[in-house]
Amino acid sequence: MQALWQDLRYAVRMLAKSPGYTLVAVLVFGLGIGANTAIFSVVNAVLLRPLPYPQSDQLVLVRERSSTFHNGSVSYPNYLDWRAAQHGFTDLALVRRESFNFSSDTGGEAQPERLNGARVTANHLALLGLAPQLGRDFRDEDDVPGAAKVVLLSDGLWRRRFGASPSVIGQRVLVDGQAREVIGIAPERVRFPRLAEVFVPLADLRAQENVLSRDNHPGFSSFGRLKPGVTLAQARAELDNIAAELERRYPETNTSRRVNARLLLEASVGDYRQSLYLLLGAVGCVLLIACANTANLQLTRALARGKEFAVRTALGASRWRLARQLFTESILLALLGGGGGLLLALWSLDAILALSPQGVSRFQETRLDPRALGFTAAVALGTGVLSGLWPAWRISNTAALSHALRENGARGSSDGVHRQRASAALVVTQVALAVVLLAAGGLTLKSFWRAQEAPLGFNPRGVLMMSLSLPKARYGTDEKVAAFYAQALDRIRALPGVVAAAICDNAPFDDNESDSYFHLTDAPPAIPGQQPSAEVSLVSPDYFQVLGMPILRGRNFGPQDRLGAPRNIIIDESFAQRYFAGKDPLGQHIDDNQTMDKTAPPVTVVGIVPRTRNEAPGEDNIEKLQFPQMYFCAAQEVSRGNMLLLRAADGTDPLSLTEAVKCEIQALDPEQPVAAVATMEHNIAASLATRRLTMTLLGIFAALALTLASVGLYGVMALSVTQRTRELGIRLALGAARGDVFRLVLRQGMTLVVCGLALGLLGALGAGRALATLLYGVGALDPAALSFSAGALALVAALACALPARRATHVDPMVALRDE
Amino acid sequence: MTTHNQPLIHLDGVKKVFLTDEVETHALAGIYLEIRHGEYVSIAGPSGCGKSTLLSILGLLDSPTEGGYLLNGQQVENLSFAERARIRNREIGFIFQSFNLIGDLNVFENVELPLTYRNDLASAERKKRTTEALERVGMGHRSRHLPNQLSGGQQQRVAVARALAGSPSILLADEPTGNLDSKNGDAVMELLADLHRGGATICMVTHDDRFARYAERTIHLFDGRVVDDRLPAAQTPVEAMSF
Ligand SMILES: Nc1ncnc2c1ncn2[C@@H]1O[C@H](COP(=O)(O)OP(=O)(O)OP(=O)(O)O)[C@@H](O)[C@H]1O
Ligand SMILES: [Mg+2]
Repeated sequence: MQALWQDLRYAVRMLAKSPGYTLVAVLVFGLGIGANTAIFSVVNAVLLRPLPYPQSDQLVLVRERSSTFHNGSVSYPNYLDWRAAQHGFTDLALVRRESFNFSSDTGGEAQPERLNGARVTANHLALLGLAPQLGRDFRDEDDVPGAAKVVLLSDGLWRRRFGASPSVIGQRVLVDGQAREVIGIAPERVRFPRLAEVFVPLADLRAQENVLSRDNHPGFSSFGRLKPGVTLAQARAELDNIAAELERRYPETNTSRRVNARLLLEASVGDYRQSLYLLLGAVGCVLLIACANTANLQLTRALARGKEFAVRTALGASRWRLARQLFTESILLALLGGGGGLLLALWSLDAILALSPQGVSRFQETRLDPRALGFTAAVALGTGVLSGLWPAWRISNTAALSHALRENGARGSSDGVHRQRASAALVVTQVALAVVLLAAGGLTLKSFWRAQEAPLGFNPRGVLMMSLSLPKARYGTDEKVAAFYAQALDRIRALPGVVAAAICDNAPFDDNESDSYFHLTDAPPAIPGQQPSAEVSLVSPDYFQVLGMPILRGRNFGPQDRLGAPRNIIIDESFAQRYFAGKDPLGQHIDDNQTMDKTAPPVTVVGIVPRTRNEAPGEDNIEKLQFPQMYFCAAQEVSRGNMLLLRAADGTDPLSLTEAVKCEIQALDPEQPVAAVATMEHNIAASLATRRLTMTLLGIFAALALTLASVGLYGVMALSVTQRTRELGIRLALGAARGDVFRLVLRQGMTLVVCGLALGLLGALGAGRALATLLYGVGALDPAALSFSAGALALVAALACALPARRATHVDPMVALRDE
Repeated sequence: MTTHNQPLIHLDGVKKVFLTDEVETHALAGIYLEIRHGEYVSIAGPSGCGKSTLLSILGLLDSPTEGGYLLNGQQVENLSFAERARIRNREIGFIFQSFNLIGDLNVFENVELPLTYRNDLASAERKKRTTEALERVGMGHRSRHLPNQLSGGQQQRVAVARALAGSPSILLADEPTGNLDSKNGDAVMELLADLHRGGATICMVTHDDRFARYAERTIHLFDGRVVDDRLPAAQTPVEAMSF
């Protein structure tokens, strides 16, 4: 203990004596450790931290899996059958994300707000293992058709709208125009379903015809809590057996339908796992570079202190003692670096979170919690040991010591060969790791660019969108709904700066998706489980004009396509190519798939439009399935909830129209809120959030790696030039031109660079493979990205070598004459 | 080669002033000197009198502060760095007190080194000259050795071979025996004498009177000036031996 204290005091003195060295080492450590702390704390917050529910590892999300979807929504009758037949879960619940028009006052000055919410079965909170913090939970009686209308509010909503007043219990609020009694406040930590602030029981839904239809999958998810001792695999197998039994009983609707059961945590954040682990791997590389860098610094310094160590040995210090001294210094530096890194992480976390996918609360909840702090401490200690290892081993080597004594004042120009070899190895390592990171950065950059450039099929510039939803309570009939939208569109179209306005229930980048089986009227019935699907959108006539889409053939919807008239549809090119190849699609018939009425007359194709891309490319979403698209006329097939889209005139900022549009809506119906106001371009950009995060951070880490590696290379080359001064002087004395010396040094450095490049490119091949599934539109071996990374590194490295090489040419050949 | 009736080296009032921390050191205070082809000159004088400085100017490692320097009839005191490097490489052979072999290169590569700085020599010609030079100093059998595998005397012989390889006009040696014991020192001096007999021009700085006597002519420097320039009174041991 005494000795340790002594070592520490001495270490502090030694570091204080050379502040420049200390500063550089702490900075390098700090960058490496800081990047790791920041990324680890995100990984911890998003992936590692358990969900905030008791025994949350028992919670399982159950969805349906079919030949088309591996992760599809659940049909209500299927849920009922699963629930009744299963034994692996304590119970199964059913939930659906929704948004509601919410106002806290049933009369007078209501301030309507569009809020995220959920339909849930009564057992929702209980299954999560929670109870309301105030009031009571849903009871089974609340969740039957015709039951008294009740609602649970989230903690956030309660605080925001009701000032956390307990008297809210028993109050009536308007949810989608319907008065509901607030019966309780959910605990603060409920995050499921995502972002929900208003919880409403299924109740009346349970009696709705479309919900009761087994082949309808209206966006439900089921979740359950595993009984103690039951594994996920067992529960999954049981549910699959039940699903197979349902297939036998209902081949029409359930052929090839099975379940997709995943832990709730995995289901919520599994999408981010790969990107985040990739980033963690990247900062790991940065840290290794930092280690190699500081190891070199310490090695250099330790050997410069060779005499001091030799004297200490002569005075009887053991090898272990010397190694410990160096270790102490290294660890002290790393701990100082860790402190700096913590500050860096704290400072950079805000920026990282700003880049993170919004609406995923586990990202935004990232903190430097005790686990992250523990990680930092462990990493700092580890890096201290790692980077002190080589110097300590070298200096404690007694052979090296006697060498150092003899070396002192010797002119033997082969001195430090070992040191140079060690340094070279460390530099090659740094360069190789930097190449790997640059390659990964280049690939993700190109992939992001490709994803951004993926054709849309429409013109997003100048398009403003917002969502609104008319409550059934006040808009009970299709006519009322249609009339509201028609008036609203007329008013908005008349606003200055608005070129065109339309509604669509399933617009591109609206965070909503709707698809449906379809059947060509003249075709034989499809084999159950193999029905073709199409994305379905209900649009008003100006929709295509708003999105700048030409009518390729046939006609647009018009006044003749009104409620009650024969129903017409417009299809996209891919539909025409796939299902009407060699025929004229215009005039063809498709069975009406938007009504429960099995005898409804078929719909007629009247127009063809370009195919649009509605979501981010290359991700696990509907876009991947490449469904063809069919458009119904919003006047004929009415939807209460719609996106309102408008095209602003050239030179008008679409967002500047927001207030005017809101005013028009309020003028028609003061209780009608709008939500999710954003430009189309903003929504498209937001759809690339994870890619952008990965790309930006990888880019930063690659740049950091490149900088550290170049500084490391520069340091080694500069030292080498200093050590070779005499040799270089001799060469100059013997008639070497400056160019000869420059090339000599440059070649020495670039040899290291080339070794590092070769190793790094090998590593990049491996990294590319690991990255492959995250990449869009670019191969893991993309020559452009790889040569870009190699080129960038070679360029910067050449510069890092050129500076010392230039200095080498200024060596005075007179040194050859001096006999030191 | 240029004609032999003009001196190989002609110094005309060469001065060298070093400026360090505002202190002027007049290392050379006006040197007038001629060295002819085939001469063997030794430079002697007390420590700090300017011997090495003179040698560095003769070898174009440094340029005079003042005065003229004609080498082989060419004005060389104001040449550019690149031109001086070229002349050092072709006209001057250096032999240093501390041998100055490059540790990472083997004997052969060390000797070949100055030739690699010429662009007009084919590889085969370089190898031939290198081999000849090594044979000349009796180190041909050690060409694959690294310098630290050789004795000091052997190292200095390799250094002499390196100086010879480029067939320079003059060999400049600064205390070539300074780091050698007397036996090895004698051997190196014999080698130089031998080269001189073969026609080489040599200019050597030495402290040691014993070795100075190997030269035909000794120049005494004192405080940066030539104070004595004469042939040795006694016959050199070389001549004695040749009887
Ligand atoms: N680069 C320099 N800067 C400043 N002063 C110098 C420099 N080189 C030499 N001198 C000075 O010039 C003088 C002559 O030095 P020089 O090395 O020529 O002496 P020397 O005769 O070779 O001595 P020694 O026998 O000790 O080698 C000395 O006073 C020395 O200190
Ligand atoms: Mg000297």
